[in-house]
Amino acid sequence: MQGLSEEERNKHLAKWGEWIGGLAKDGKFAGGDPLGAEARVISGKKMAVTDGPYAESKEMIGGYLIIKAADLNSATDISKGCPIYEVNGVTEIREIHHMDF
Amino acid sequence: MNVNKKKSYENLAGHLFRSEAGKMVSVLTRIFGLSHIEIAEDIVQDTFLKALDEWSYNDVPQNPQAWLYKVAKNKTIDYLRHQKHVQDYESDISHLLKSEWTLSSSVNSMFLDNEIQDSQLRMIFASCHPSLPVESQIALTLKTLCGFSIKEISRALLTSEANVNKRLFRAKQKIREGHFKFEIPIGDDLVERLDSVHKVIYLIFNEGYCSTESEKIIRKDLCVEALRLCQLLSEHPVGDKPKTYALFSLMCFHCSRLDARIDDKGYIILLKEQDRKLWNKALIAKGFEYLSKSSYGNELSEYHLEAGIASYHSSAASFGETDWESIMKLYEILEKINPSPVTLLNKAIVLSQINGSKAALEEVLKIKNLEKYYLYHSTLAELYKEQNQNDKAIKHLEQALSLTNSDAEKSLIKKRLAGLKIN
Repeated sequence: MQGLSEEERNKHLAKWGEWIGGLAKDGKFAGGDPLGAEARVISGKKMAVTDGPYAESKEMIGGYLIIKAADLNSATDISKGCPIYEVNGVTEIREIHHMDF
Repeated sequence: MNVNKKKSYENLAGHLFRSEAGKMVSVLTRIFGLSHIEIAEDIVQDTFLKALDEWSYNDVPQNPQAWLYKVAKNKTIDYLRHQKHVQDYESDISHLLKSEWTLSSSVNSMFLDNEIQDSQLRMIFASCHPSLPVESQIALTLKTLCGFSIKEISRALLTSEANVNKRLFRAKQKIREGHFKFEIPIGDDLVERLDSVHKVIYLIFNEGYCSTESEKIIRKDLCVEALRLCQLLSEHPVGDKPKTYALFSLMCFHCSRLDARIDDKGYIILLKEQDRKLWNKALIAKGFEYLSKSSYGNELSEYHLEAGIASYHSSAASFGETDWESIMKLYEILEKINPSPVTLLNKAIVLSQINGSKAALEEVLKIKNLEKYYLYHSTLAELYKEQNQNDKAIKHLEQALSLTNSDAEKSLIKKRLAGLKIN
């Protein structure tokens, strides 16, 4: 959302409100928040700490949303309503798996 | 900080509290839901405390209203963040308050002008809920929408502070039980609740016009608030009714005399002695404009009659030229619609102008349940004086003196007492 004027930003934010509001009304919204830009990655047994896995800031994960959908396809349809594409954003859709061991 | 500066910011804060408290409580109640109205009231209270504290050290900000809203928004967002996973709110935006994607922008959007108006209307109608006794509806509205203190409410409603506290406590208990919706009513509900809303606006106006707080006799901002609430109502399809216009007209006529009613020292000037050149012509014109707007449909309300009465006063060139007969006719209809003791008292005063003090005295003595109203005693004193019964006049003036807290009213009564005791 960088590079937007205050008015444009407010308009954009209002769309998030509408979208999430609509999902909530249909009982499809379960939570989620935007995430900060700074990240740490900890890996391996040695727990090596590095600054974020991303080469470029545009690859950064800007946030997450938990939605309720019947399957991956309908989740994809829901995601098409996300205002993030207006600012050339990317989404990735994953299922929460039940750990039935 | 010097004394003048301290005084000026305290005055400003007092004025702002009056005009902004109700707006902020309404907006925050819409965010938290009606059953959490106390959270809204606490946040508004904290916001004003912060303002008093910061403005006493730094200068008052250039746009104090925007400052207050910003602080209230931040306090609200902080509160919601802490409660996010603990508490559900039953407001229509509750789901947007649970995610950081929408929390801040949703709270901000509730502070837009049109949303503030909408929230206030919802608050007006929620406070006038039919499951509350009328007295409680009025007390609640004065508290939540107009920033009235318990003391001010008690004087406006001619009752004790303990009684007001009890009413508010019970009203909030009912609200907490969760049967109230924070929305503008529709259909049959609307008609009933609109009546209470009109009455509340009328009382707010009276509180400002016949101010009960000592020191300041007329708190213009209260009258302005009543006009504002009435206008707010008239601009919305639900309130766009003849009665709303009649009420607005009535308040304009009375407002037109605000400046002529008080002298430089804050003393009351009676209608008879007012300089009619000081009456606000624009407000009188507005009064007539709304009176004619109110005359469609077939409803003749108290407000129509009172506006009509006020219009005769406003159009009389002098006290002597007042059309008392026409005013009397309106009082006779008013008595049929609402035979309240105060109506009867005012009618008797008009009678004294037509048939003299003896006939009026007989009428006033028939009125019951007005013994605690200072104007009852003040009127009796005037009539006894005209009958040359000074002992009785003095007795009633002394009773009137003990029944008012207003310094301006007190000094007027003392002046009259002194005059009687010399003769």
